[in-house]
Amino acid sequence: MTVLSVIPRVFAAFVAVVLIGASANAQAPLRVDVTEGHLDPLSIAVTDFVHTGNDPREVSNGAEIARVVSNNLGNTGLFAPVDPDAFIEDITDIDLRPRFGDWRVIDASALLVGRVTIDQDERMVVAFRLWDTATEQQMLGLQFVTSPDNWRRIAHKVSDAVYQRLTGEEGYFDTRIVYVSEGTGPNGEPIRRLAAMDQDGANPSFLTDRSYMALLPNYAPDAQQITYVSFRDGQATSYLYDLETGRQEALFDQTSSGGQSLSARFHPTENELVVSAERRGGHDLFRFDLRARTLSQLTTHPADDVEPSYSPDGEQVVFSSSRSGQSQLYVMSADGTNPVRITFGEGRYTTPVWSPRGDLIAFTKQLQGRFMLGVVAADGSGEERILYEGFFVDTPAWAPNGRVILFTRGDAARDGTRYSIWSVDLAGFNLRRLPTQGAASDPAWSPLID
Amino acid sequence: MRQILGILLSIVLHAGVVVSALVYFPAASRMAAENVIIPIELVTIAETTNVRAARPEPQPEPEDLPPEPEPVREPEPEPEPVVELDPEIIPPAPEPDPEPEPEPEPVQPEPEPEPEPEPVQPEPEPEPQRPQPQRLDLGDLSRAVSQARDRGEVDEGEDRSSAGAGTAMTATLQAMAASQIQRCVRSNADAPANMDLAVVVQVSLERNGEIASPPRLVDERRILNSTNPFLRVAGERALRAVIECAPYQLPPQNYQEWRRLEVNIDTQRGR
Repeated sequence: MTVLSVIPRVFAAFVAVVLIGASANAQAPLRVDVTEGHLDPLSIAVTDFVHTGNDPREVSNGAEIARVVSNNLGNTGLFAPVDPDAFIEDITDIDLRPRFGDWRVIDASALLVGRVTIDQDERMVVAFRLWDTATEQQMLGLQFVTSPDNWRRIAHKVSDAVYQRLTGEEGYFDTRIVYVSEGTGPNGEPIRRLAAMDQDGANPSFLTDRSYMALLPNYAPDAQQITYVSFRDGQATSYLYDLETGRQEALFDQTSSGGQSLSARFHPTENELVVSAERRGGHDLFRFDLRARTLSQLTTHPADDVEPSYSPDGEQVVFSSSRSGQSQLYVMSADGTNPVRITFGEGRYTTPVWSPRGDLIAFTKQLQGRFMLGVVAADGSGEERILYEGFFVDTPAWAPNGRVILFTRGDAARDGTRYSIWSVDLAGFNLRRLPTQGAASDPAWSPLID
Repeated sequence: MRQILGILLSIVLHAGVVVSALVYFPAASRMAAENVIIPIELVTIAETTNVRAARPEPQPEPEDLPPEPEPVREPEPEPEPVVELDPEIIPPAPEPDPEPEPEPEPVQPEPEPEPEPEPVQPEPEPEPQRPQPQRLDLGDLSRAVSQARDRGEVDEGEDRSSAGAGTAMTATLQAMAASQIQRCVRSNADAPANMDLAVVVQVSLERNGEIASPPRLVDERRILNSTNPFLRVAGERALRAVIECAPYQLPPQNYQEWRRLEVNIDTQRGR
């Protein structure tokens, strides 16, 4: 290195010092770390969807859609719909920018506006815009086309779109719930019929009649079929029920498996089921191929293995088993190998159901005369989380987005136990009773309907 | 060798004289006198107080200010039919030209910098990130320093009773701002626990604690266009939070310190 080559470097360093000195006093921004937040619901204003013509159905559907959307969002516990009486701006045209100040002043963080148009071809076009009143940005703008009498499904689809845009996860409003309607016959005998309804309780109907008892329904991934357990002539048998046609068939007639069969669940992608069936006096787990109508045995342990449920990728199965003495939860590969126990707490662990997200398993637990609904990590790590505790708890069922759990809740009544279906979110909040007609149990939540 | 070093030293010193003359010509003599005093003042007070510096040094305007706010956003173009229940193709809904309704909340301009009463103090803070120029343009250098000096401002409301490193007050301001923003931030606890949803929001504030210009996310495009919907929602929640939290209740005498906030929001860390 020559002296001459050093000179420019030294000089440049000097210049740098001068420049740095000139800017040394630039006030750096104040750095603030925020590592916690609140869980308060997001306030959202849902205005009546405006109409463009004189068809009275535009007016009524517009108001009804807004009401259903508002109820859907409010029932999640994640949103707080603003009372329409507080609205200042009267939305008349959804293509104009709202006066955001009018919405901020009533503490509406989000604003949903919409429009209903019924054209001469009896097509109803429902368009809507979702605004962020703080950033004054449109977050979503969509329209749906359907027939005018299909407004309720549109309301659910609007709800799903808004929910997904504001939370980042799929909604669960355009879904159905199948459950067991509990009743009593003229002679006091129990009546258990399958019933179905929208997730908000609308459009209820019965799927089976009073002549036999139906229990434990589970949805297929396409939402077109269910399995359930039928008690006829003292025999418990898994049935397949086509919701489109009403056709049903016993699953194991052709297999002559003998014994009872219980709780069949669909594989998430393959055309097969995992079931627990009784053979030689004990319950084991089987895979049932729906095309070939063949059973293949997955477990052979002398203890009872029951209540299987696939992981969302279909690679694993969780089930409950008394192989360690008291009933606990186990996870194994879908081919029946590598069973691993994942619960070790006190009490009886039963009815495991794998979350659609894949990370958690819901279960019920019986301990010292109390029943609990809980979740545990699918690999058994970490602490289990109890979401609800009560007189009786059974049959958890996940919402399709894995955020809410339905379950059967039994409450002591003068004439025995009264059953109803409740929902609770993953944090153990927002406990709500499902609006079934009469006593109900054994919920199954459909996937999102296409 | 000694001769070479002498030449080198001579060049450096001469260059320093030239630069100083160009930059601080009007106040060259006064600055020289003050340069003798100031190091003593800093050392003495910093060791005993550790509260914020007295009068802030003249502040060159930061180079990375958020971009000028858009005057009025055009209404979003009609995005329309994305989902259809029927398998028919529906044309986009006719979109009448929406009239933009300008919000009567013009962004307040930054307060005009006051004239520079004092020369820039060449505090030799070791900031190594400046690239070393290979060639010196004295004209550029002069202009750069002059501009930096001209942008400086004096905060007349400052408490001049003490001076020091300022770390204690900075920590207090950080805690004050964090506690206010925390109340407005929606936790991302509804997202999967192991997901990285940290976002950084840059906020410019008025002296009264109001937002001076629309806050922006660092790496905004990546976040708001992310295929991970939870990250996009986290970014939007952060923006909404810092806006809804205004006006901020922060001590006006320390305005220069909290005039710009860089808020790192990571509610997943607290889970």
